[in-house]
Amino acid sequence: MSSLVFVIFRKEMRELRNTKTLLLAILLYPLIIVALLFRDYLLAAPRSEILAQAELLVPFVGFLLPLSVAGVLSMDSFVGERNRRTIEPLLASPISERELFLGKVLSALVPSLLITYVFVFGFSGALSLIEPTLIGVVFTASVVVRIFWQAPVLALLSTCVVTVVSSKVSDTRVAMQVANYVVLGLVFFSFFEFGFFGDSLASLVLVTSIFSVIDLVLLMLSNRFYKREELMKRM
Amino acid sequence: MIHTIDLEKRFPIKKKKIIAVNKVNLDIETGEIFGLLGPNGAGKTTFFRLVSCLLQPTSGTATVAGYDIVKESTNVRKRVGLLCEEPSLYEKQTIHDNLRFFGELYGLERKHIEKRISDLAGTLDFTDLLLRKPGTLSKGQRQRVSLARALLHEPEVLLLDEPTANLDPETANSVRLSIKELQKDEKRTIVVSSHNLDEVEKICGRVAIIDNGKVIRKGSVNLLRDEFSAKSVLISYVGILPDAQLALIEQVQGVQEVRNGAGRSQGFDLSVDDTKKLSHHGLEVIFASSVSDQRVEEIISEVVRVVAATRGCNIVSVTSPKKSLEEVYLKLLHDKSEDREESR
Repeated sequence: MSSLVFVIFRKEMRELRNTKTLLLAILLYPLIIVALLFRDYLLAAPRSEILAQAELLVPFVGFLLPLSVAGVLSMDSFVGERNRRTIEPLLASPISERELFLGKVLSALVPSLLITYVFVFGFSGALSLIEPTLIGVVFTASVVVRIFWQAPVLALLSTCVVTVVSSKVSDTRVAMQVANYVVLGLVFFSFFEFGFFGDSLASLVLVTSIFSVIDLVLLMLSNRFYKREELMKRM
Repeated sequence: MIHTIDLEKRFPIKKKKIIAVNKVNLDIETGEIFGLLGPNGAGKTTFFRLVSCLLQPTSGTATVAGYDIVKESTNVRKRVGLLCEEPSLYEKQTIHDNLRFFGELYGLERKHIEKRISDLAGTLDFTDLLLRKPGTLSKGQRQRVSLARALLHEPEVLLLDEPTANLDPETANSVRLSIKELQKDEKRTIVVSSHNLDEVEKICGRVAIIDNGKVIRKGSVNLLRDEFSAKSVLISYVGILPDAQLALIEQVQGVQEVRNGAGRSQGFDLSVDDTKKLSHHGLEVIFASSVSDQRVEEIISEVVRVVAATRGCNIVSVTSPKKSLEEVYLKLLHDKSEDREESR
């Protein structure tokens, strides 16, 4: 991967670190869940109940969080640059369309996965101190596939789609609405897939493999999705 | 350095094609400061976006530093520094981080980036602002930082889009001085777009006047002023010039009009001579447009002879007034709009 992809990535990470309110908004969701569960524990809820909640919440949050966070971050990728009028000097630099696209995608994907895994490991680790059997109960093979393969693959898909949409609209609200539809669509698809195939590991691997191929194709075609000129025209 | 041949850019707007840049032919040489003059919407920014490879031409070609803007756009981008109309800085990052990011985008080594930032911050006087965020800076400071960003990779061509727009006169002047210094030190080709004619007149050697996407006149500032200046001579004198003498001057073949008066006239400051407490009078003699340059010299000699021969009348100076670039510019735009009205 070109070094310019990482130049974009580092810049986006600096921006994210310095945007405290956005960071807080992203972290709020997992923090609320942690707070709720620990409240239950502190109120001496039965251990079986904590276990049942963890069994439900860890895979759910582990799947949903990367999708929603990546959606929010990628939504702002181009439309944000355009609205803040920083896109012109950026596009006047020697960076290629593909490098710019990959840099933006990486900048949305990496923090979303990082936050998710910190939550999944931190939360599960903390609960396993209370209930040592938790890890074995919660982390079944299909949950592992869902959190560590399907979730990143679908998050990458939503990031690619939303980043392209962000490059084609000039209004943040439009990009946000589209991002919502994409994330909701993928969540509904996941529910549908679960309802149709049940907890079958084979079908999960098959569906995730198909999405992995779609991601690969999207990344390979990334330089065809937009041109500098299109980004400039909307200024 | 920048050569365009019939460069054209059309934008489809509501099923119509708007021509933003219309068959522009320009040759801007290495090391010159070239001015692009025109009213808002004339096509100056679109021209900059074409030669910095942000937009692709609809037709025509252009080369920048020997590279084609369509086929070799990456090479062009590496050699061009663009100062946009808006300072366009990342508000959440410090000035240092803003500059470092662009240094990395242009592929500079980390050490070299730090050296360039330090040098440019010194030259453009913002060393103490490096750790501040753009939101805490004044407009002038932001503009200087943007100029540094455009210069970070030592581009061969610098495109400055309205560099002093929205700046107070003092800051605008300091930015102007910086631009002149940049050209002097490194022999860089600089193209400045502006509708501030005074600014262009002060810093540019040659200009192109652009209106509705078309270059309506180009040349050196002096040549344009000569071309559009009315053929006339101003004789400043002390004393009294009787009506009879004025009538004599009016009768000289080739003289169209004679204006005589004291004080401020036609842009000439006819001040009071402090030593003798005598008022300077101004005699402006305007020649017919058909008069040849050789005949002009003869008329001036005749007029000077008449004034000098008048008793009690002493000539202080004889000057040939030139139009300012602003007058040339306004005249050209006025003529152009009249042409358009007529063609309707």
